[in-house]
Amino acid sequence: MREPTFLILTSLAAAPQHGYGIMTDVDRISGGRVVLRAGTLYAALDRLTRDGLITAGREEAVDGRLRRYYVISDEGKRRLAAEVARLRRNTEVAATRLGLSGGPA
Amino acid sequence: MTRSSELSDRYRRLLRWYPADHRADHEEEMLGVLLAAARPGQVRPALRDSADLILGGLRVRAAHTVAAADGTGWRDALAVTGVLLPLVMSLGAVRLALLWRFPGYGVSVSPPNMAWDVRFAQTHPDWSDWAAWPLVAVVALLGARRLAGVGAVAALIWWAVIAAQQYVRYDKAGAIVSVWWPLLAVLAIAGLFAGPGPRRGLTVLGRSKTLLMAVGMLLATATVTILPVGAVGAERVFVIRTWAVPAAALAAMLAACSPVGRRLLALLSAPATAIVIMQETSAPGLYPSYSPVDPVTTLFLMLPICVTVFVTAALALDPAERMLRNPRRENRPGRPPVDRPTPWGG
Repeated sequence: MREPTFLILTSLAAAPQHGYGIMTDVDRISGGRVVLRAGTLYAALDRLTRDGLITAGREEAVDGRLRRYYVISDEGKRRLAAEVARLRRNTEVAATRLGLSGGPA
Repeated sequence: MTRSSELSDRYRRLLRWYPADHRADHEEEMLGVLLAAARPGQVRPALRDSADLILGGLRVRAAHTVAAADGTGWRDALAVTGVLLPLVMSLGAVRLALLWRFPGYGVSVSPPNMAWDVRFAQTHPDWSDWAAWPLVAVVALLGARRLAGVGAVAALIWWAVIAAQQYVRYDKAGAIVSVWWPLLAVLAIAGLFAGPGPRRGLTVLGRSKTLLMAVGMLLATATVTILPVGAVGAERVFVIRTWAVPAAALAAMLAACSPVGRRLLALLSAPATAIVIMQETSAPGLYPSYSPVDPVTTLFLMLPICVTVFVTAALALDPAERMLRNPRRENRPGRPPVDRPTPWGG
């Protein structure tokens, strides 16, 4: 799973978000390291929707502009959890080999 | 015009890079996001935002095109190439073996007037590359598509080795003149590895039509390549234009009656273009080695043209079908009509 996908799913794991909310949340989660622009974000949302990992939820109008909320699906949660487990395993091995977590150096 | 509406209009122009159905669903929403992220007083999109929107639009277009291919007959057309082209290659192998064993009409004419593949049959140093194709066709029909695909790739690589030796050692034009058949081999390999596979192709096309089309394609290529025998200059051009071109046009019109047939024609447009270019560049000497254009130059000019013809045909097909089906709806904004492919004959 590529990092923008991981961050978008992570952003939606807590609560449904609209496009601008996802952009600002991803910026916050990554500590400003990953800046999602609208083109990249909506290409990813389009792909994730087609893959069934997210769905488009409720809509509202704010200042005359449409705002659509995206919701992570059960399949999206399962894929995100699998990715977290994979990253955690890799991280633990790396930390152990570097002697960062009290394991054998 | 206010600064905000000026910026909004510029973003809207950039959003035209996205497909119409995506714009219908997301344009207002994306515009809201873009304006929310804009700096105070900003009147022009930043260069990075513009590039990001253009690339995003192209990515969404590409993804939609691939997704749409599932429902418009492209996969079935690829499946048909997986069963049809190994058969064409097998019949071609038998034909060339017969020409080699019984040269007949090709022997008495001097090389400039000799049919391409008659000369090819007489000068080709090794038949092992063609010999694999009947085996590939049988294995493909038995359902072992991957194994058949590996055999086809091996035959293609072996052809390249033989043709390279032929080019370097003694017959430059002979090595390049029949380059249309490796293009058929590439399509056959695509049909064997990608898409639903040759057994689906056989179901779509039907056994009798598959055999009929394979024989028809073989006769079409054989006719074009035999034509130079004994026919020179204006006579040759006359024969091609009054017989071969109308016959090919009729076959293409029959195939174009179905969505899968139209896509098959688009796929075959690349090798067909190669045959036409080889014919035309061979004039007036009837064989590329007698043409003012060097064979390798011809090859490197021909390949991009073949690819361009195929890409143009493939990209134009879906919009052209939608326009022909319902020209007035095409101009309306919103989601385009969904293609529902009919079977081969429908």
